[in-house]
Amino acid sequence: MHNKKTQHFDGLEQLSTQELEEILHNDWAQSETDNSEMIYRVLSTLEQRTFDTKQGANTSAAWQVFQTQYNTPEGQDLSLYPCELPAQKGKPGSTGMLRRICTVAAVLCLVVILAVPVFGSQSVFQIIGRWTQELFYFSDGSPEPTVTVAGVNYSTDNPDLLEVFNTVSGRNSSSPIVPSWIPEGFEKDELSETQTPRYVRITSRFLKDGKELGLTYCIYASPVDSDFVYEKSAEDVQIVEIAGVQHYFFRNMGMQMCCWITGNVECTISGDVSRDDLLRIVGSIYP
Amino acid sequence: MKEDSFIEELYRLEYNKLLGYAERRLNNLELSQDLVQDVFHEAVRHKEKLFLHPNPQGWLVQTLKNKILSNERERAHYAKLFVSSEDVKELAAPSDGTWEMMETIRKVLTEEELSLLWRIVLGGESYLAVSCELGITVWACQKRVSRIRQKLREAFPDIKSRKNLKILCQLLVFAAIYK
Repeated sequence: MHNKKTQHFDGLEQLSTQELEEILHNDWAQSETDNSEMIYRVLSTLEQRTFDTKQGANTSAAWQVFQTQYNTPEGQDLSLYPCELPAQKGKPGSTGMLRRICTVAAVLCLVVILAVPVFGSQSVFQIIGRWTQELFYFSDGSPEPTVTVAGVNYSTDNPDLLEVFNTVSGRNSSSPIVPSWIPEGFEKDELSETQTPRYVRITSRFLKDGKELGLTYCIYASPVDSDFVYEKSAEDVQIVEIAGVQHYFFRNMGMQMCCWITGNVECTISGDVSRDDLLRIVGSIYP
Repeated sequence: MKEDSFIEELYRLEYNKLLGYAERRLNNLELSQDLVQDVFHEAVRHKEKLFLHPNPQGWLVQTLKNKILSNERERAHYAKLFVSSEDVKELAAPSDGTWEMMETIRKVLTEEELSLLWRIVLGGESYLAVSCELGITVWACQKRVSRIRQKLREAFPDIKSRKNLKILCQLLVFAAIYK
């Protein structure tokens, strides 16, 4: 019954209880990442340390409740808290395509980082920014119909983004700030403009199966004088420099967020997407 | 049946681990127990696949994580729009269709339905506790909440608009406090 793959998690017993608790806490910061094996080992280690003689009786009582209240014919096709279920994994020991891609990507990433001093690049983060676009861009090679604006290709298959771009451009923002890519399936639900004495705010919202993705631009008449405060979760903010612009990535509850200022525009992208997708969205802004 | 024995064995070995995980995240024992029980209910529903799964423990952990995230998102979605009692008083002044929405809520939902929605979706109470109090089964309670959500979706088809959702939640609070 027990997972035999313990060799990768040797040493958990050496960690303090606080350190183990911290691993669990940090796992929530990467909610889209499947760390279930590691988490299971951490929970097992903690359970051994906090063994309670009443645990067996408590489990038996819970099992009785489960059988009489939850595991009944009435609930056969129902869920109390519907969610996406984990996909079936491959056989133990097999290496999936995704794992091979990630391994190759990790090696190449390391080579690039080590090569920075040799090729005289000014910033490692600039390379990472470009690398993110290259790594996550999958193409079958066939040319797509596109509209090229300021060096950025907006596919005519996604007119929603082009509409956002045109709306933003209509307010005389000359800086590249609108992404040319968003994850497949998101469709525009709302695009609105709000005029205030200090700025014009353009808000667009995309929806996919109940998930949201929002693009917000505040275009100031003069240099940005922002008084916005963004709520965030406890995790640190990650700063990524792309095309010479510092982008701030953080989380707020289950939403990934990115904020930055370019020219006279304060930009925010937030959504129910993975951090990797958000990086790709931001990266697609730049040529 | 071997899958049934498998599920029971899995339950007895893993229940406390999963409960510990949920409690650390939610700091709510009652809700944590409800979620963990629902995870094992999913396990029963998919027992044939789980029996052949190379890592059933990992499946349980990931399913629990997904359920917690899904539950948190829904409550955070409504909690963000929660208004203080001072803000609710401002709704006393008729404006832009809010009274019409209020009347619609009153027609669509009974007092009991309003209370049930509040307790389960916003209050963080477990289906088990609420159903025991009401003298109904857990699944009867779940079906009631589903019907309430459906009623609101049908009554307010534009509810996906953030502005209208905000107004609706304000009105739900208003209706709950000034019933």
